[in-house]
Amino acid sequence: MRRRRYYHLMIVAGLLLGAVTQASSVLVAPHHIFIDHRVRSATIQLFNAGDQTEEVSIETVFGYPATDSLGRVYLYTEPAESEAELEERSAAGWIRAFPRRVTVRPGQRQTIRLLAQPPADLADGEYWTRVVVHAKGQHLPLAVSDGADIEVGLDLEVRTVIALTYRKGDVETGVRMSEVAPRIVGDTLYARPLLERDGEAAYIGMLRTEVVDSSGEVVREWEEQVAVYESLHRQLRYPVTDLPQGPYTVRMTVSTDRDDIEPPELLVATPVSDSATVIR
Amino acid sequence: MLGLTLATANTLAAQNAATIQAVATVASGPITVTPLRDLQFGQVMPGTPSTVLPTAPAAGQYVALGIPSAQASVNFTLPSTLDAGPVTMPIAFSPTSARVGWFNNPNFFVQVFDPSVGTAFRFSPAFFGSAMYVWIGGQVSPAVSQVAGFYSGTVVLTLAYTGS
Repeated sequence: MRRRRYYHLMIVAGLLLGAVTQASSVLVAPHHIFIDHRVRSATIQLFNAGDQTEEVSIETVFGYPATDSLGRVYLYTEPAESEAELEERSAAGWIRAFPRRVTVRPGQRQTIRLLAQPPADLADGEYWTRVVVHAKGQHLPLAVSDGADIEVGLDLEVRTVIALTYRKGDVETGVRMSEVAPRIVGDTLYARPLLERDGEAAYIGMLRTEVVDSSGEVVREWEEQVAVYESLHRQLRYPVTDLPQGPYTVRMTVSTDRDDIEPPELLVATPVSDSATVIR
Repeated sequence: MLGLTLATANTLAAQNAATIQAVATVASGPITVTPLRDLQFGQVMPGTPSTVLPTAPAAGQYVALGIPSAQASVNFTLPSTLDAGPVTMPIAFSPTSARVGWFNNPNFFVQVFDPSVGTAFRFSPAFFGSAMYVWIGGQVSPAVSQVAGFYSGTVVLTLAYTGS
């Protein structure tokens, strides 16, 4: 059933992209792969929606979203052959893609199989890696006009990185939230909640921020996808232009209410909320 | 022609966004990144640096389609030299050499960023096509004695959802 949905999805996106551009283009789905220890395999679907043949390679790297000292989100990654491979959480060293290199012609669909070969003594728990899909296409013409000029041009290539979660046994997730200290500067609301994973599995959820006035009415709200593998201390900025002056309560709620990941792959946890007062 | 094509792209993206969003709900949404245009310096003069701004028609350009409003990290792998056989030419990127935005216009509601550092940016909401456009420029510095030839290199854009 899911395969059929992927197919429909790829057709829709392919028609869209095919109409969008006469260039190289590879659709990668899904954006998050889950592998159960009892199955030990999964697939990635590729679809070449462009008009050029694509050379695609697949590799795995250990990584997860993290935040830097300024609260900016980035994808922390380490090559599989580095010491990170030895980290307890990494599945990068024992997830294999077949084929690892493939040529995908325009309009062609390609299935990549991911096979897990974990250590025999793998403990129950959740293991992570990122799957990197590297597509090469749209090469520059190599001809030089008359051989006397200096011509310069650069090819553009693409690496699409998707998450892979491997689970063995029953795992639970949760999150702790602290340091909700909102402030309004000018027309911007700033908040930087500290989210820390609580449980052996990564917390995949949504962060809802609500501004509540003195009558209890929610006057502004925003939502963010969050993925807490270790911790996130993200700087959030929201516009509050036209918000009347006065005191407000900023309420932040983290929940596992995600519509892009299906149960049972999506682990459900009790929502966590915190709030603080801010003056506009 | 390119502008017409991309304008059509925006329209089509908007028209189909609801479909993409609905499918993403049940099938864990896809991600597509498409190089639209190479970074082209064209003909340069020996001893004279040449700059392509990210707002220029010669700038490199990508478009990505993904989950509406989802955030993704945007990073580049950049060359420091371009090659024409065994001969090289330096290339540099400044803190303002890259831009990212929701619309096919590098001057309209964009975030300027350093391509050597990268950034994080949201895909547009569904009604704007769940898109993200990225532009990159740079500067090459041919030597006074630079040998004639076609100097090429590769820019790699890496895109990853930060919410999964």
